[in-house]
Amino acid sequence: MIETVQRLSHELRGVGIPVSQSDIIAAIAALRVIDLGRRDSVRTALASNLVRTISHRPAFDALFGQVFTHPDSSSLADAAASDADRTLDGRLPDDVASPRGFAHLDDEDLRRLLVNALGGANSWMQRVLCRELVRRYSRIRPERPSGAAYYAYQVRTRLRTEHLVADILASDTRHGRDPFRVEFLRRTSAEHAVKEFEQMIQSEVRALLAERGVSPAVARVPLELPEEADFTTAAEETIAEIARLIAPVARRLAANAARRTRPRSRGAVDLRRTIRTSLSTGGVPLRIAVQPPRPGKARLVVLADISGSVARFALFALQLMIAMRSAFNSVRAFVFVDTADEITDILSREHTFAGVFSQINRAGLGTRVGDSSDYGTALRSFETQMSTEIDARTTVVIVGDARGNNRESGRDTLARIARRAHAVHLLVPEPRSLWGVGDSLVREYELLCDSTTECRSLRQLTHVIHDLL
Amino acid sequence: MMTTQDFSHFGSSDDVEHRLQKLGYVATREVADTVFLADALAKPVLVEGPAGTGKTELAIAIAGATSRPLIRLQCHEGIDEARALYEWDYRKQLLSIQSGASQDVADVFSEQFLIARPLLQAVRSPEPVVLLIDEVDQLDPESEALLLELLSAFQVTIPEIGTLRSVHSPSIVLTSNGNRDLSDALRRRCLYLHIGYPPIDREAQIIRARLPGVDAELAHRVAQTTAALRSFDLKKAPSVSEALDWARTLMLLGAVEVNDELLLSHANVLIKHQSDIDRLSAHLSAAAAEESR
Repeated sequence: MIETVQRLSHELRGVGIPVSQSDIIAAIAALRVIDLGRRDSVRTALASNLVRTISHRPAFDALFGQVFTHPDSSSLADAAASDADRTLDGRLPDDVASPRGFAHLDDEDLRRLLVNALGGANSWMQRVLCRELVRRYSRIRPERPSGAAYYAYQVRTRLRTEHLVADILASDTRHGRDPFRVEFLRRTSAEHAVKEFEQMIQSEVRALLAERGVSPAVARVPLELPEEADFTTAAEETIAEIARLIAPVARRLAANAARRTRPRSRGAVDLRRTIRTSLSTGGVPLRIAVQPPRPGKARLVVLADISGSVARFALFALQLMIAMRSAFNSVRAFVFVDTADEITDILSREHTFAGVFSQINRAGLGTRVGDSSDYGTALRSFETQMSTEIDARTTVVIVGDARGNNRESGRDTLARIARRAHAVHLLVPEPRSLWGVGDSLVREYELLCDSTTECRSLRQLTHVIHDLL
Repeated sequence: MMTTQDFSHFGSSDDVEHRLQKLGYVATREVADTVFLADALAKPVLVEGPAGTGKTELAIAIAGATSRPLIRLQCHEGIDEARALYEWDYRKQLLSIQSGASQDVADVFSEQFLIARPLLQAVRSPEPVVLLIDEVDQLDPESEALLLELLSAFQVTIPEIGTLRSVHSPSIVLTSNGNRDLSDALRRRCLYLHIGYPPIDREAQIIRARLPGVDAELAHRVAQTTAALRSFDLKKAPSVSEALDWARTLMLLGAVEVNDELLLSHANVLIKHQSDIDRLSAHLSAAAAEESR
């Protein structure tokens, strides 16, 4: 057991989750009191000692499944046991009252059961069906070097998951149990259920692969902590997860900033007020008046490249900075492809990622000519709009890969901006090794900016903003 | 005989689940396991999760299940030793010296002149207690250090007196909404437990447990609606406690069916931002227009 825990810790460290020696000892101590016969109890005992943040939990669960393999026979009983409440069992047809009874059902019956379980929000039933479906559809061949993503895809295709939402909606009305007359709520809840089920498939596939002795390296494919995922290459689900992290990160950063700007010591003595108050005590300055603290807050202007692949990152950065408006004197946001357009209003109105995106696209913001970025023109139009605004208290942040498509670089414009502004920072969502290669202008801009930072994940972005404050 | 059994501790995870259930707290297996571990290993639990998912409720339920008194420290910004740990009773000290009861200055720095604040109360209590440290994330990072000694050794050091050690190991529950990253030192001393929004069937179960006499079908629909609203990108997602409030409202109204009029007219129970309510009603009327077409 001790070795297994150590192996798990090793794997956890491998994906970037910090596990200390004392955590391992505590985890083993926990295993000595918990009921080892129950897999979920063992998992909880280890997770509560080894994982300290919820965003690391999915990675932990996946690795746990790989390290603590369980024999096939017990897995169904395990699923049954893992949920004590089976209050909704009434909806189970009699012939499958025992979870092992699925084998004789054909695919259509299984699918119907699944649609019912998803529509009726029966999570126990979903889990049991998930196991059966993955076993039936994934057709795992250990000798083949396919990853978990491949098998999960197989299951999803055979199950036709893209039609599940429609089927749930249809079955809702057929059975007359129609919780929401309004389409959009019904649809949202069905989509949500299907999305969660797809995730369930993914983790079930991983567990099954581990069980069949496929090496963890192959099974592990998409195992990235959301805050470390690369914006430009991350999968859709990871992006959604990052989007959810934006608000808490902003809150945390703002709280830090507020703490830092709080006056630590008393301000300078206000002589005038001290003398005036001293008059009431016959000219003896009993009470010393001090100047109120005036924490200096920067004015932030962000200019983001939203062409092609860096668009997603740019909008995340903008959203995060707008969300922390309270920490700055003011925040203004601009986007560009070949012209700079201000989107501060859109960002403060729309708080979802997709909303911002569609607004920008509808208004065609940032572009006048084409859809490839032109830094020279964009910088010039930015300078024209902001010429009077940029002063010694303004910090300018430029977000972009500085891929100028061999057009004019606009370095003179940038130099002028840099002279006037307090500081200019460049955030590049491209690996450092590619800077200055091809049409990249990073090396040229680097000389003019106060800092140039590689910024490809939420963690890096958080660090940058932390330093900005 | 049952009398020999010690009710201030849990026997197993099942025991935890069972005893919490009796108090109307529906614990997941994970919660039950963690509570049992905390009790068996005498370790504090750090409970994290969105607001209104029953973190504080859990501590209250543990106190109820073990029939221990609950001592609560509500954290807020600027809380210091004098509020969290102890304070010298300055006036009492002064009186004692003036009346000549204390001959020596050292006399007035003894335990009888101490005002015990929650943390010291928990340590000095002659019977085992449950100590709830609510919303630790509201604490300044500097004040976090106040807790460390208590969390790892169940003791408090007072320079003038020495170290006070707890007779019983108290069960300590810390809650956090994740507004700030807690220090690693604090996290390392605790078992970590995350309580998120429950799945629909469990939420329905919670509603039934907390509102005896509620119609099972209604509970299920309330849970379903709440879950749908949570995935519908609101500024603040409705929490379990808000779902409970809503279910209670519907019960009082004698509703058996959840529909959009009911949702809209009592949306303020469930959704706490006017802009969210506006968005919801806009969507609802748009969808209704589509339906009638």
